[in-house]
Amino acid sequence: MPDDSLVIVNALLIGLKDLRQRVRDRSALIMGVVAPLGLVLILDATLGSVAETTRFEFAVLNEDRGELGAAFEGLMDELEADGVAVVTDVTDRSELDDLVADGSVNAGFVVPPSFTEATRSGNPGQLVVVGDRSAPISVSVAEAIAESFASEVDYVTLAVASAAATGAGDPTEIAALAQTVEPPIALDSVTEEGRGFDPTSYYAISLSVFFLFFTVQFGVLSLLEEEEAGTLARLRTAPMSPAAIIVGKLVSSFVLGVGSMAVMVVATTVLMGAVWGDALGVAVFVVLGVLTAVSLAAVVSSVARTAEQAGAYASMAAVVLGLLGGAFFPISSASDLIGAVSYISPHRWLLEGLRDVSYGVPLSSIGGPLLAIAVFIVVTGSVGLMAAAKGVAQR
Amino acid sequence: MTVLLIAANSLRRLVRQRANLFFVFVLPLLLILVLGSTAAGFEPRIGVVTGVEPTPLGAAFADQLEAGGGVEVTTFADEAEARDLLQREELSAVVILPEGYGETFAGGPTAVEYLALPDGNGFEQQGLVDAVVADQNAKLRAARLVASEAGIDLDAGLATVAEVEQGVPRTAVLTVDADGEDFAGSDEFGQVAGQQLVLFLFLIGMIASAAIIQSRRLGVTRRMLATPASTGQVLGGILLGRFGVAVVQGVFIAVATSLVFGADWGSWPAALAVIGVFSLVATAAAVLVGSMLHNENQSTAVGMSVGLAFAAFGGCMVPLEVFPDGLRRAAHVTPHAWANDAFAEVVQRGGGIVDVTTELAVLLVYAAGLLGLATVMLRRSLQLS
Repeated sequence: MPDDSLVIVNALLIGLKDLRQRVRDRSALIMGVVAPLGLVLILDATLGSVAETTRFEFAVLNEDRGELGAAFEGLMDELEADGVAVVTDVTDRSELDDLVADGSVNAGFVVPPSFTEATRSGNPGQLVVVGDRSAPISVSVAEAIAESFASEVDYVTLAVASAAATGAGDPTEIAALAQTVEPPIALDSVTEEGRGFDPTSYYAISLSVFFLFFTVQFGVLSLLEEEEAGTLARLRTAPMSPAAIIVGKLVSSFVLGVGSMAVMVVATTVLMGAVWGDALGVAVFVVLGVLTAVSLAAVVSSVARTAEQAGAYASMAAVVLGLLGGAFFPISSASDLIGAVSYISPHRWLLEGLRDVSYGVPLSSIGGPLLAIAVFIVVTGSVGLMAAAKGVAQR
Repeated sequence: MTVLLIAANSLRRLVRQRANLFFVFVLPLLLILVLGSTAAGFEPRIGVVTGVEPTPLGAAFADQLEAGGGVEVTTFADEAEARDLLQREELSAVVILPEGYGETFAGGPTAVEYLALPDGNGFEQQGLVDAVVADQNAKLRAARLVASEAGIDLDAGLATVAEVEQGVPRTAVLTVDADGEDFAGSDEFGQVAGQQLVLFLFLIGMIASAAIIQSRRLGVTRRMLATPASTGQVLGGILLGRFGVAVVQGVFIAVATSLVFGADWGSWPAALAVIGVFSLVATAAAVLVGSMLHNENQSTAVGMSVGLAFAAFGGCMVPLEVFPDGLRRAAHVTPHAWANDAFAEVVQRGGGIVDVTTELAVLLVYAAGLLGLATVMLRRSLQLS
């Protein structure tokens, strides 16, 4: 039986050799750093900027000659000045319908003739929103704008009627006074950074975890590659224990995983200002995440016969669990069923833990994800280790 | 004939490996489930933090939001709990009403906080919340006015407004499409389904590039070329086999979601044409990647990242309609954007095959370009090895 310290030295030698190989063929670099970092950049540039820079394209047909029609146009000017919308004025309905039909605008508003007169005489009219069916989001925004304007219009009517019910004041006076009462509620949309909801951190965490499960495959699966290349048999004849070979492979996977995560954390923080949170918390989840991914890869490779098969199985596990765990899009909001199923995915727990850390939740309050991940590592890790030991002994 | 033989052969190699069967049949099933559950009444959840003892106006806020339709509303006594659920993505947005909402309005306007996840639903939900705020503002302003004019307190004013409100006719908002037909029942599913199908057809196609590398590495490709078959024929054969698989998958997903979940894909000939042409683009891209890279590990990495990046940039994750103008134009360098446009026309606007000829033509040009490039690259890579 070889000396224990030799096992470690040999394992490290094998691990180092694997690492050198991966660095040389650049696949680990692509998978562990270039791909996730590039994707975070792209997602951040497209999706992240959408909320701030989107301008809805609206058309307005104002057929009313009264003050309300003018007020609606004023509202549109305001939206345009605020950079929320780009507004085109049109003069007849068919022009408006055409603009919507050919997709030049997302939605059009029609303020009908005598809208002011009708409203003031107690028979409120109807605002029409003409929407492009292929732009449901913009149409719902247009609807909300119209509804808000309608509330504003109805407010004066309501104020006059309410005042009349209490017998106070003259209707014309009340209507004039009504304009002077400020709206008491203001909606304050908080999506900016610092509150933990910034898209950059969101995608940085999702994609680092998603690609981690691919990156660590290299080390573990190389056991099968060595077997196919005939180098495993040669390693077995060397004076060292089979454990050294397995540990070596695990070490290279582990180092690749931790290395790629470390680069991702530092690069997204420095280059894009992502917020990962408390260093200790991040370190704990990174190490747990890498262990999870390594043990999953070990289990997967134990059921495969060839390296190619193992690669395909491992990718498939990474894609499916990533999809279920919400690495592509928030999965739990999709449906109750999928939300419940997602808890079998280690991605789900890792993302939850890392997001909590990023939001500033102390480690002691993230017990759920920690426990779930620990159970996952113990179960898959022991299965994977046993299978790998059996595999090396047989081959 | 040669092309068909090569295609049949590459298909046989594909189905002999169980892992591939998963990608061909099980992954689409999973997608059908995800897509289907989206079709079967997806409602984003919004949390409203009303405090321990909700004020009447606070309770009304939640009710009105729910009545607005399209969202599921849950009220919370505690802000921390709602935030926690938002961070776990079990809520898509949270509205935080201040303590004593609607009862103490001294000084400036009261701020209602709105927190949302950075995803595509944000605008719509915020619109609904905006509408409730506008409505409550109207009531509160009227109540204040009445209170000061009639010399009563705000509660009495609110009570008067609530009473009078029932009898006051309101301005209606009617939403129609360009043909004047009612917009109600606008199909959210259509948008999501088209986007997801485009994303996965391409991604699955890209994963197939590993098989092309393998067949090169094992020398299968070189041996095929040693026969009287031309590079074009060999490439055509590889492409045809993969293309068949991609089309079957796409059609399978569309038909299954339609039969099982009642999803509406619009005109079938048009939808199938888009699926077919986009599958061709995806397959051609896979053949190109398969001709350029040297080992299967690299191809998974490149396939994944290119597939996801194009999907994000091409409007599969956040719809193109909310892209800023310049970015939307730039996004059309990806075939994904054209395919998404085509699906939008067919699935959402109910267009037929003639309405998507431009998109189909552009996609065919992409396919031709990618194939041309792939032929050159495959020839080069075989000469090198």
